[in-house]
Amino acid sequence: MRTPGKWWCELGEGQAFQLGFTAPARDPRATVVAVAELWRREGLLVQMDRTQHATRPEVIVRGRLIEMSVHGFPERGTVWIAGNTACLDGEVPPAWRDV
Amino acid sequence: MWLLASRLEEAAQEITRLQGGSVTVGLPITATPELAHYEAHLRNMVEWCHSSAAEIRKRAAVAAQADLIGWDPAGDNTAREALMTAAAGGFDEQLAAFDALGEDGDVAAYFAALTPGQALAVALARASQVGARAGVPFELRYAANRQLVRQAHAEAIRVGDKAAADRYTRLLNPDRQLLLFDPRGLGKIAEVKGDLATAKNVSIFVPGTENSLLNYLRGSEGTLSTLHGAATGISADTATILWMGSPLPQSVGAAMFDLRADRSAPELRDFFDGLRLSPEVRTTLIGHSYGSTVTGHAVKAGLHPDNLIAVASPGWGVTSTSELHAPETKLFAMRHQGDYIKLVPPAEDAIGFFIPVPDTIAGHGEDPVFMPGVERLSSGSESHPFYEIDADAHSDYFGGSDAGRIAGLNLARVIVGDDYETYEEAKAAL
Repeated sequence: MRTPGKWWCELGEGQAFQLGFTAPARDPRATVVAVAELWRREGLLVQMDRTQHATRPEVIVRGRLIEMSVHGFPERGTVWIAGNTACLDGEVPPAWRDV
Repeated sequence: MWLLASRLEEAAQEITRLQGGSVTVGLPITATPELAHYEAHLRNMVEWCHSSAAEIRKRAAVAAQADLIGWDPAGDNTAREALMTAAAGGFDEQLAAFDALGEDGDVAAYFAALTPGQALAVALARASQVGARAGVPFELRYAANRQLVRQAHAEAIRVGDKAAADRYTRLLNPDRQLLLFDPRGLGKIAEVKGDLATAKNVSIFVPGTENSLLNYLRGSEGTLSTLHGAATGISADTATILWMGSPLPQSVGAAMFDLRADRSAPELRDFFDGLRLSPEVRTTLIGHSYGSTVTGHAVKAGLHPDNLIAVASPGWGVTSTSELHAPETKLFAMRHQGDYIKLVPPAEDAIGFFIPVPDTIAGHGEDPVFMPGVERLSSGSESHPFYEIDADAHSDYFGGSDAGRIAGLNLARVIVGDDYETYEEAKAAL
C-alpha cells in the first residue's frame, strides 16, 4: 500500500513531501537489515539502529534532503518504509515528489 | 420565502392599522355595533399572518442552509436534498422531537431511532446544536460541523475577509472530519484523522501557546498529520485527534499563568468523555508546550487516559505525579536536549520575586522530565550536548527537523502500544 502526501513545514515555509509503503516481506527482519545496509552504502546517516530489536526491527536514516525509516513487522509479515523530504524552497515538480 | 413572510407581516400590520392604529386588533370605536361579529375573524387573521410568517421564516432558514451547500450535477447531493426536504416540512416531526430533547436528552437514543436520511437532515438543520454534542454519532457530528464551516465561509465572503474564506475553503475539503468548529474569537476546532468509530488506538493532541484557528492550517494541522501518519504506519487501527476546544495563551507572558489551562481542563475532559470510547480502546493524551499544562489540568479534573505524554512541557501543574490522581495512567515526557523550555522556571519563581503571585494561578509545577514515576522518551536529540540551546528545538518534535522523525515515531509507539525507546536507552546506544 502506497501513501504519498505532503509533509509539514513549519509556518508554511517551503514545501516537503512524504511517501510511505507497506509491503509483504517473507522475512521482515532480514528485509530491515538489507534496507539499512543499502542506505548505509548510499551514504545516509543512521540516526537510530534497532535492527536487532526482538519484536520491532527498525532503522531511521537521514541525508541532506531526506529522512527515511524502515520498520519490520515479523508478526504480520510486512515492512513499512516511509520517508519525507526536507522543506524545499521553490516549486517542486509533481513527478519529483514521490521519487 | 423571506418575501412572503414579510408580506404576511405587512398585511397583519395593515389590518391592525385599519382597526384604529392600535396594536390590539379590534374594531374602531366608531364602528357600528352590527359589525362587531367581524372582530374575532380579524384577530384570527392577524394571528395567522404572524404565525405563518414565523413558520415560513424558519423554513426559509433551513432552505438557506441548503443553498450554502449548492447542487453538484456530478456529485453527492445527499446533504442538500436532506435540507431541502426539511425546509419543505418533510422532517417536521423529527426536528420537533430533537428540539424537545433539551440539553440533557438522550441524543444517542434519539438518533439511533431515525433513518439515515432523517438523522442527516436533523444534524444539518440543527448544526450548531449537533456539531459538538456528545452522544451524536461521529459521522453526523462531522456533517454538522461541515455545515458550520459552510456558514463561516459564507459570512467571510459577505464581509470580504478573503483570508478567512480561504481557510474555510480548505476546511471544507471532503476528507476533513471535525468534531468541533467555532469561528468566534480565537476559534475552536477538533479534527480527526482515521476511523474513530473502529479505532483500537486513539490519541488526542493539544498544541501549545500562540495556536488558534487562525494559524491552524499553517501549524497544528501538520502536527496532526505527522502523528497520525507515524501511528498508522505502525498500526492501521488508529485514530488521531487534534483538540483546540478552548483558547490557548497567545503570548509567552500569558503562558506563565495557569488560568487558561484551568478553564480548558473541564472542556477537554468533557470532550474526551463525550467520545464514549470502548474501555478496550487504548487512549493517549499528548500535550505540547502549554498544551501539556492543559492536559495535566484535565487529568487532575478527572480525565484518565491510558497514557499521558508531556512534550516540551513547562509542567503539568503538579509537583508530583500523585497530584494528578490518575494512578492507572502511564506517564511519559519528551524533551530535546536543546529545548529552551528547560530554562523556564515556574512563574512564581520568576515574577514572584518582585510581585507576590499566588501559586494557585502562576507556574506549572515541576518539570515532568525529572519527575519520579514518569518515563522519559527518546526525542532523537540525545547526542546533542546537555548545555545546548537551540531556538528551533521547542517546535521540532513533529517533522520539519532532523529529529522530528525519531520523536514522532517514538510518540507513535506509545500510541499503538509498541515498544518505545526511552531516553536512557538512546543515551546508552550513542
